[in-house]
Amino acid sequence: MHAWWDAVALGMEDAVRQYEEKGIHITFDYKAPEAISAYDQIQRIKKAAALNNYDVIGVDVADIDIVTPVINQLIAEGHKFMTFSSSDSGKENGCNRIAYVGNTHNYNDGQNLTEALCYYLNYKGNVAMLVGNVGAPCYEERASGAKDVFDKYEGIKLIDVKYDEDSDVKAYNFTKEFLKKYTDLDGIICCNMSNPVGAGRAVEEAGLAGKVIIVGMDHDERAIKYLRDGIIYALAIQDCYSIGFDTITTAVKIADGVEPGSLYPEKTEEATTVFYQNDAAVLLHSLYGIME
Amino acid sequence: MKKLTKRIIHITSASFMILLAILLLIMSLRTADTTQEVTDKAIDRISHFYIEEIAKSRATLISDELDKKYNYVKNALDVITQKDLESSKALRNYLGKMRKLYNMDTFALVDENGLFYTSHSTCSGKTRYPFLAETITKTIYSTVLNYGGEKQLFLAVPVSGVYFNNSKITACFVEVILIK
Repeated sequence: MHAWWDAVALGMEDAVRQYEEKGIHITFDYKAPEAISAYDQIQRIKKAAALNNYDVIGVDVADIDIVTPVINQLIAEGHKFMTFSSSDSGKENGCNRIAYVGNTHNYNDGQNLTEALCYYLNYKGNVAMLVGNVGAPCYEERASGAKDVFDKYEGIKLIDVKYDEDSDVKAYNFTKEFLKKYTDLDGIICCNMSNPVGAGRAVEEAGLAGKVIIVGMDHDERAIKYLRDGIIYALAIQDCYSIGFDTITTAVKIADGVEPGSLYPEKTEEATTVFYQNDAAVLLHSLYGIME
Repeated sequence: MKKLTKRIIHITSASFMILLAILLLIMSLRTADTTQEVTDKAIDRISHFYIEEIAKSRATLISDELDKKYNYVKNALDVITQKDLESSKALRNYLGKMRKLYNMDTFALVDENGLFYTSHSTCSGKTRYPFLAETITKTIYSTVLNYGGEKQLFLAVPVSGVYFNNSKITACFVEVILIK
């Protein structure tokens, strides 16, 4: 399982533990595929529904167009669905899921990271982008936010975009290619948790820290160490624990037949915070127990 | 002449007395130093003795706790039946019973696909528990760092001959809490 999801699991387990203290027994299945695939996802959703064992099924939508019709069909058959984490398919996409818990501002996250990068570059320079998986809503929205910011500033040119399929190794290889091909590269924007790790490694190896400026997402320990060392300029970190915790509390209400309204919103918005180099020591300590 | 002799005697006596006084002063200071040194060494020895005793006692406590947990796990695995493995609900009931019986915070079974089962959940777990990355062939103790900087200690024991949901159960692991 991707390490991002481990942090979400912690929140889920804490919520379940707190319910247990009150005498309420909650159980959940939390399974990840080997790699993101919308087709694999719809098979899993169908299998889960067929078991008829679940009061609520939660989905981190891999592809809105492919997954939404399947969710709607299963809802019509009487199953309850919610979405969670970083990717929603909501009413605006024609999806009848009951509620969403997670990041509701991926587009803004992309914008904020890109504004930070452009500010550092003094609104002049050549930048590249690493996205993640094609069609994954959260990555595409961040990329879209980033592109809209680049378009605002005449002096900034987006010269390449690559999809690394959420693999830090692929991100590393793509970054090496960027560095070789574009000797005037000034910055890289990374749209998920894996690609700042790969980009940071390539830039460090090339001795270009401080010359090629990296911004990225989330809390991988290696990325935070790169932040500490000045190889990454900024990281936008999502509150994964709350995503997990609130997913369970929302699912319990849905299972009890409560509709979104006063007890819980249709979209529970979880925060993203941008951190810089002087925050790195605190992050390493609080997340990983590393004292420096 | 007599006066001179007397004077010489006086000077000599006075010098001798001064020398004696200086000597006595030096000897007193050295004795004080030596006494301090002896006292310090005695304190050191006593402190080391207590520290060693405390450490031995702590090591015994920890060792006893680890042995106890190991025995709990062995006992729990000994009583698992085919009925406990008939369904997810049955398995969770068994895991919950064992967890409460032996007062454990986490009690989990792991299958060959890396799925781990607890009384509350079925999860993909290899990244969460790095010690599951390799096949467990003997009893191991491992620490896992949770987000939030909290370290957890786990005991993992290999399991054989148990199957659930057409998958082989390969290990059982529990959290060991040394201070509650």
